[in-house]
Amino acid sequence: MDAFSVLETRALAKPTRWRLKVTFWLDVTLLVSFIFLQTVSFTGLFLHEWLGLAIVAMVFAHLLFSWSWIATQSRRFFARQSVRSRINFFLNLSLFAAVTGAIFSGILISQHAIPALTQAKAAAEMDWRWDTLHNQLSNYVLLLAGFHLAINWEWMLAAVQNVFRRFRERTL
Amino acid sequence: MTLLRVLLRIVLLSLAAALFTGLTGIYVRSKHSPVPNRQWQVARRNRPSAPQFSKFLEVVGESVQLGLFAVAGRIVFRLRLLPVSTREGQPIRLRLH
Repeated sequence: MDAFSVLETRALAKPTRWRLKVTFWLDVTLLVSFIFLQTVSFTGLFLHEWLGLAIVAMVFAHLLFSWSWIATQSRRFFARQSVRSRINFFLNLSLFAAVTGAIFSGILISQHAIPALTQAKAAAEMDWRWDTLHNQLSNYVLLLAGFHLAINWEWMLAAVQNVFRRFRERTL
Repeated sequence: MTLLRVLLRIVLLSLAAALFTGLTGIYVRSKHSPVPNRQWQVARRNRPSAPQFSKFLEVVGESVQLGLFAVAGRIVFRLRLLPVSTREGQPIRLRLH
């Protein structure tokens, strides 16, 4: 996730190119899903809940693809680091915590998906503590996702250029 | 071997998620949050189950909000945290290993 590190993006090996493509499209799907999750009135509660559960797998995949960064930054946690690296680490950790909390609270107030999976009846009374927290955490997720995009801006632009250049080359 | 490594990573991520879940539970139980007002309760209880495509503008609104957060973050990070010059032609690492 350290987008400013320098490397040549041209002449990528085939597995590397495949990995870039998968990572890029996974991130795009994750981003679009997050936006849809913020608009319950558009998606409806049913789709909102199932999408919320699907996002667990997407977040795990996103983190697995970023594992080398996670491992390196966690090892270097107590070592001397730039302010940017530290902020990036805490930003990503906060985002992970907020997403986890939002998903967990969403599971606890679920009216469709969880009752369907557990064959249990949905709770008649809404637990307002969890509902309020779910709402607050969703807002934090949006804010932190924006900052996450901001700090990985260079990576994103380079990935867009790389993926679409190859797409253009193939269509021409 | 690779599968084992991936499984181990999933276990580690699950443990981290479980830790945050536990902390969230402690936070909610320790905090006295007032019951939201009646209007909010009615609105939350009566959210539609089916999609309402007429509300597409809300998606646009959320996208704009996300974009604004990204731009705001970009300005701050670029001004304060830029470690290397990103002048034209400088390649960017895509962290693929």
